[in-house]
Amino acid sequence: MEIRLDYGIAQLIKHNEELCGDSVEVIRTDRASIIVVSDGMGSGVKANILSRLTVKTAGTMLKMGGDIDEVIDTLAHTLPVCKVRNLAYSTFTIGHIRDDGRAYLVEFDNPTIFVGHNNKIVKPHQVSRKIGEKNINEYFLKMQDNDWLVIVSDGVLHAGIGNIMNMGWGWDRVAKHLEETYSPLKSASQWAEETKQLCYNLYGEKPGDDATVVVVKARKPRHVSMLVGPPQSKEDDYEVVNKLMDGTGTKIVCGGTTGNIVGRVLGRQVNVDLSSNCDNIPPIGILPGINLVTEGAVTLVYALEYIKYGTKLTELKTRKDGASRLAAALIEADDIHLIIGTASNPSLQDVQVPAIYTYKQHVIRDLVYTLKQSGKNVTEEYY
Amino acid sequence: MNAKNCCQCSTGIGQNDSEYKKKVNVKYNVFICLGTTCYLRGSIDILKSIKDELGIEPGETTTDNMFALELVRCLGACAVGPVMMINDVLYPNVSPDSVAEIFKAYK
Repeated sequence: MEIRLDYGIAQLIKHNEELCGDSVEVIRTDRASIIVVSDGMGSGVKANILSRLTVKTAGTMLKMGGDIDEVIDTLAHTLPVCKVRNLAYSTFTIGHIRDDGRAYLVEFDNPTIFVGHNNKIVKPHQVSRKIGEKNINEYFLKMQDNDWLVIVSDGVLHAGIGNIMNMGWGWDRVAKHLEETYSPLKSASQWAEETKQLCYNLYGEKPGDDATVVVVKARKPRHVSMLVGPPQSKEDDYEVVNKLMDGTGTKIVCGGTTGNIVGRVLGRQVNVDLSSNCDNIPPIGILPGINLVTEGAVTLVYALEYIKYGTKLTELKTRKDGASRLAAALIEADDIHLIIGTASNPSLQDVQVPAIYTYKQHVIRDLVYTLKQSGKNVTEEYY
Repeated sequence: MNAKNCCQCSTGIGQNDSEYKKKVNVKYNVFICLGTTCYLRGSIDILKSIKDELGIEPGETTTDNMFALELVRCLGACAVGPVMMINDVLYPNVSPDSVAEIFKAYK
């Protein structure tokens, strides 16, 4: 089964330090994702350099097709040696997750990775072996919809030590907390952020160590097919509507006239849902067979703004207007196919209309760029 | 502005060929456009005046079956927006104040 991953990274910096001693690197290759988390010895600049070097070296080598034995060997020989302790040391956890769900995890001296399915922790098969002087644990598993991984640095498990209640959080209790707080609706970054915040509170707002929480959630790929704007030539109307209807997943139509075209080709009436009207965003339409029909130029500008400035998905979902619904659908999607009509509406060049709405094609280009930047697979077609 | 080419679907003023659902037993079907241009030029305010004038909500019909109010997403007359249409007559550049005057002719 094909899966897609949703990542969330949250970090705490040790009290009175400026840099985090833990580093995380997420690398996307053609058919797989590589996640490397490292905790450098000590704290501050020194730890930061050690962990940065570790994640960069491991990430780059694995991306180029190197194996774990080579990575460990390279790290052992290249990490700078600490003057005080005469040691070169950093821990790491590496996850190599293919798009078909096969995952290979390896950890060295980091807390045991949390693997879960829905609200339950699962214990994957573990293989321990020695490479050089280092004992590593390896796990092989197959990830499915609603599976998740949480990689933490030891700062998370030790949260609370040295405080009034002098005890750490501990692996078991973190595991229990994760089981309790898992929700399919929560994004990975939200979950990571919440867990980090709890750590911060346990430390009494003065973290005694760098702490990192990396959440990886697997889910079925979500597809969106979207038609934006009417095609330049009227003869293409049938073709674009057919393409949209043949597309997979959620179907979205952006634009008043575009909605009318789709309605005409399908022989269905487009109604206006006035309840979705808000101060500045025109109301959405209702067309049977299409999941979302919004207005064009204005809605796109606002939707782009929401996506660009990272408005939270939960917040978007509470709102009824077209732009929030559009932004939420696009943020949730993994594969987005855009059918872009390039006809322009000359009446929008009127002086009474704010200039931003006249540049619809620019807004679309910006939207495509922003979506691609956030790791989504976006394909476009122009008519 | 070239009036012939004012709409995105290049059909010209008021010739958007989508079929608007007209209620057959109603004398005057009133359509108010909520497309991008009309919306930005304040068609929501016009909708409010029409609602006050007729005393009905969109989708409803007056008790004497004279008027039915419908919302549409583009009437294809963006250049002269905000527009409303009563049966087949298109009213360009409507303002909240001109609504009452337009309806005088129908009452």
